[in-house]
Amino acid sequence: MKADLHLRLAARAAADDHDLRENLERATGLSLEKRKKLTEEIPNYESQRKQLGKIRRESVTHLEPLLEEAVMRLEAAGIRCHMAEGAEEARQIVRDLCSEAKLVVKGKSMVSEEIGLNAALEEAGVEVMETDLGEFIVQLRDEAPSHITAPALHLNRRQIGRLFEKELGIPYSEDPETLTAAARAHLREKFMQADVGITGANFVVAETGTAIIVENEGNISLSSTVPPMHIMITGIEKILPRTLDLDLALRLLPVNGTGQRATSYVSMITAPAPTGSGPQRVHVVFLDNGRRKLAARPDAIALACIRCGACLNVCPLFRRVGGHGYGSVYPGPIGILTTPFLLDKADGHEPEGSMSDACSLCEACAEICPVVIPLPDLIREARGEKAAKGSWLERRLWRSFGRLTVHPRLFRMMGWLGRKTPGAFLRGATPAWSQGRSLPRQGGSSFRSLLAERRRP
Amino acid sequence: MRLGLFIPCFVEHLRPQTGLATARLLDRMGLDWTYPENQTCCGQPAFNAGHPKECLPAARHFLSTFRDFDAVVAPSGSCVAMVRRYPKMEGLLPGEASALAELAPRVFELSNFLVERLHRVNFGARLDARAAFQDSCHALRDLGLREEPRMLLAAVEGLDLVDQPDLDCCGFGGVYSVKMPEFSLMQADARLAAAQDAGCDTLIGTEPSCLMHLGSRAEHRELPLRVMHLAEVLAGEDHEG
Repeated sequence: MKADLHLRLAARAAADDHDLRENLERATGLSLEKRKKLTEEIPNYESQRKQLGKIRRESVTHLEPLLEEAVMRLEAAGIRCHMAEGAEEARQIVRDLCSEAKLVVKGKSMVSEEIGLNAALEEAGVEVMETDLGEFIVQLRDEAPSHITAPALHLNRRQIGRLFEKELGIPYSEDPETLTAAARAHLREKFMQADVGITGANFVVAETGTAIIVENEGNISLSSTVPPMHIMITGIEKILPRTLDLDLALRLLPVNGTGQRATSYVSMITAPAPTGSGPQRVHVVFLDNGRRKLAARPDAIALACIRCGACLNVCPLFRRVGGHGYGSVYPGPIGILTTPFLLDKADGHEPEGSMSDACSLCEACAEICPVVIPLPDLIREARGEKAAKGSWLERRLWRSFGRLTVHPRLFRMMGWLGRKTPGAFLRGATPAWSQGRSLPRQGGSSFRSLLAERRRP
Repeated sequence: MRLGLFIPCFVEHLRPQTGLATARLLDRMGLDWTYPENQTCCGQPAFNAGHPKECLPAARHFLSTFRDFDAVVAPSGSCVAMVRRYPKMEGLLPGEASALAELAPRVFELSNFLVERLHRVNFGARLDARAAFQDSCHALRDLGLREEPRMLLAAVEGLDLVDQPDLDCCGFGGVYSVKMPEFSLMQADARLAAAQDAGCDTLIGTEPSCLMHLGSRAEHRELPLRVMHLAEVLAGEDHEG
């Protein structure tokens, strides 16, 4: 289905779904509120943001040498690196690494969603257990995450209480602590039994070959230290040049992602565990899957994204339907830009048509983005690309419009025609406007004729 | 000062009262202003629809219409934001780009012009209403006009003003309103509800396109909510007939 139609249908469904609307508004609103408070408290927040934007630009423009450096250092420390060009290649690499495994515990990873990793492993007979609370919830519901940092933000605690009652067999409760404890008890066993832990990585520092993973629940620390093998799967764009860059990156990511000053845990992984407990085998799968193609384009800066999700929270459209409304793994303003590149090769994710109409160009995302990606400008350019491949008639009409703007008399005449056209006819001609809105005033005078009347002595 | 009045094309035909109110306001200040009859459209519809090339004629036409003015004022942040983008557009001749770069900073949104150029916030206006003030995206984010309209409204007598910052976009967005109608209407309803829930009988804004959309929605739903442009509030009723 075309993405814009998918969204419009989701909007109609959301109009009748009181829970969904309330949950989305509450979750995104709370996150924005906490974020705003923090950004006002942090001295020089704006200059920090600009600086991080610069660092990420540098990462994207020097992607290949930085990646090479990171891989060299990781390998030197005993971490095996794998380069996956497409989704199937990445799935195959992970499947091969997990060929002996019965149980995999997973930390939250959007890249694994991007390539449909869970389904691929389950097909190969491996049990996959999501250990992030939000991911665990959507896995129980057999759903995709609805948000890139808050996978279950479309649900409230009553819905989660009923879900746990049904799926985990615990007495109904809507107390967050009781529910979290139930999930924890269910997962604890799994950590101990797991053969492999799979996580993403938020950043990979080139200078030292260090993979960084941030989290709040401790599940990633467990996934990356308890099972005998740890696999990180991450996009090639997650590189940072220097260790010092982490200073800003680790500060601004939680502020914008969850409205926290810092995350509860930060894992820094530089080598496999030397002996005894901990993973003796550590792998990083670097995924291209369209990123190099995007990196070579004028809008490559979209790759600077650190996946905080703030642009989703602030997007009026996202706030009304949530991530599922987009029908793609990466929703919101950043998803509009990256989806056509990251998902066109992955099975079942073929985006038919661009999502660039799903934006009113309100620029709230540009204002909030912690790495200063000019999202609305890029979305406008994406519209241009779509239009260039689109209907000849539409292009002709816009060209005529452009030419009309240099002929004042003709331009006025068109306005006059619009004003004098009977309302009944106009309503037929503009059903998308007229269903739900009155027509603006018909049959009246123009500003210039009223002005002339006023000035007549 | 040679002052030009730039009236958005849709205001010309669909919301002339906003233009007239702006004219009355300029008259009342004793300003000598001109409304160039040749003006057309800033070209934003084409630009935002992904056809920036088709916006070039509009930019050139704007230049030839307004280049001789010391200042240009328009009751729309969105059109002014478009004009401010002109100098960076691709496809301009070098001479045009530099001429536009000189002209663009002289083009002002109304509230910006009143506060920054005329250094005046009190126009002796009176409005007996409980009114919500809601921002428009382009005035707020492109032009950074957060304080200006609020300063002007604070000086209006009789006005019980409810400041409503940080609301979602009203959902107009030009082509967005017809390509994504479900969202557009939901967003409009959220704005109207915000005003009504605060007990307001009036909603004030600075952007006529947003107001046209919100007003049409309020009218369709037969809501007891009046939608007014800042210029209409400041200029008051037209006593001159």
